[in-house]
Amino acid sequence: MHIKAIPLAHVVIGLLAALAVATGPSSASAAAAKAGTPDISGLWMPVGSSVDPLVNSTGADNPDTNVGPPFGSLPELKGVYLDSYKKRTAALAATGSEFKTSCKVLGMPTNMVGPYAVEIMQTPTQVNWAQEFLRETRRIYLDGRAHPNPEEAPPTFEGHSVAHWEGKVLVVETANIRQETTLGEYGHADDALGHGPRMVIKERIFINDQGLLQVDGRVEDPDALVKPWQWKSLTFRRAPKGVEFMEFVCEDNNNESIDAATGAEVTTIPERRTPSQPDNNKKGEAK
Amino acid sequence: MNIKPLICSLALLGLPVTDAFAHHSYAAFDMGKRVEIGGTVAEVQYNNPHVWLFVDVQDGGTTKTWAIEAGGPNILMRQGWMANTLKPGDKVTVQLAPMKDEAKTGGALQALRFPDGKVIGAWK
Repeated sequence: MHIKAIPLAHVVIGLLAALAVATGPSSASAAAAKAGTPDISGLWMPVGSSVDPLVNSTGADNPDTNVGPPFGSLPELKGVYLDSYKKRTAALAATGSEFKTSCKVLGMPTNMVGPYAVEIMQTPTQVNWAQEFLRETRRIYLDGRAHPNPEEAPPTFEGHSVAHWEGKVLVVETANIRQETTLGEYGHADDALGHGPRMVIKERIFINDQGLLQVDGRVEDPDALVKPWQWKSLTFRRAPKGVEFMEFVCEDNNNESIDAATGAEVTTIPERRTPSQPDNNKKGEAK
Repeated sequence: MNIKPLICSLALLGLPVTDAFAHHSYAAFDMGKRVEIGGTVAEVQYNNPHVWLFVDVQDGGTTKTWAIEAGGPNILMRQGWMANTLKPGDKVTVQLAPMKDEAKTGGALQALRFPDGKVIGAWK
């Protein structure tokens, strides 16, 4: 144990307590309160991310929180899905990229590690999980409906989520997810072999002892996985009072692209709007 | 705020630490290097998905403009850097990870000291 860390831990506890007092639950759905279920409505920040009020970051840095695979572990893939994974990672390694730049929605489960705020709207029959990042919204139904017939309904990036409350835990099951989404990676499988067609994601969502929203997830995929994959718990901190949901439009002014010939990521310095002198970076030239 | 002790504290509290990502991987930058510059703000493009900061730096008798990529407004507003925080003419110091193409004076923002002394990012 690092001695200096002890008082800092107390500081963090104090900050957490202050934040909890400052924000508290949002104007909770009265219906949810009536039902005796927790109110998880409100704005939440991924713990350790650049929008976490306890992290100091420029958003373009590599803070010490940004280590390891996105979910803390990787699943054990098999068969054609393992081959597909190896092909993707080899292509990325060849260009020195950790993942392929894209503005395309991530889908389940990768959107759960999106780096920006999450806004939850809860009613007795539905929970909407809206992400700032890439504007993804999950709709989680609590009205007792079943998953659609996959023969009839095409799969989607967010999949189809149904849920029920077990005490203070929202138990969610998601199926019918497009096979471009990947497991434990940050990006897509362009060959649609990121996972199998029968994959089911089972989540337990609750407010933990520290007042953080916690999401435990288990992925079952008999086609692609050697055994079910349990990801490291994801946690979210209530946003400080006054912080609002923000729009994020990735396609707007995007300066990142992929070189079609090499597959390498290209960052383009944007053109100056009011150049104070001749632009020594030659306006807009790609690097 | 120094991130290292904070993470250590989070670990003591048993809080899992999630990972932070952007929509691209910064492969065009040498994230293992740091360059420190001091200069005058020439322009701020406060846009999604990334804010770009242009800083004029005196280099002998010439002025070089550095183009510096930061996170997006979703991050920076929460860190206290609002759309009107920096204006042309403001004096700043910056630590950046330079572009791998050394012909460019560009970088990814690692830490920024505002005119009032406030710092975002881990100043090293």
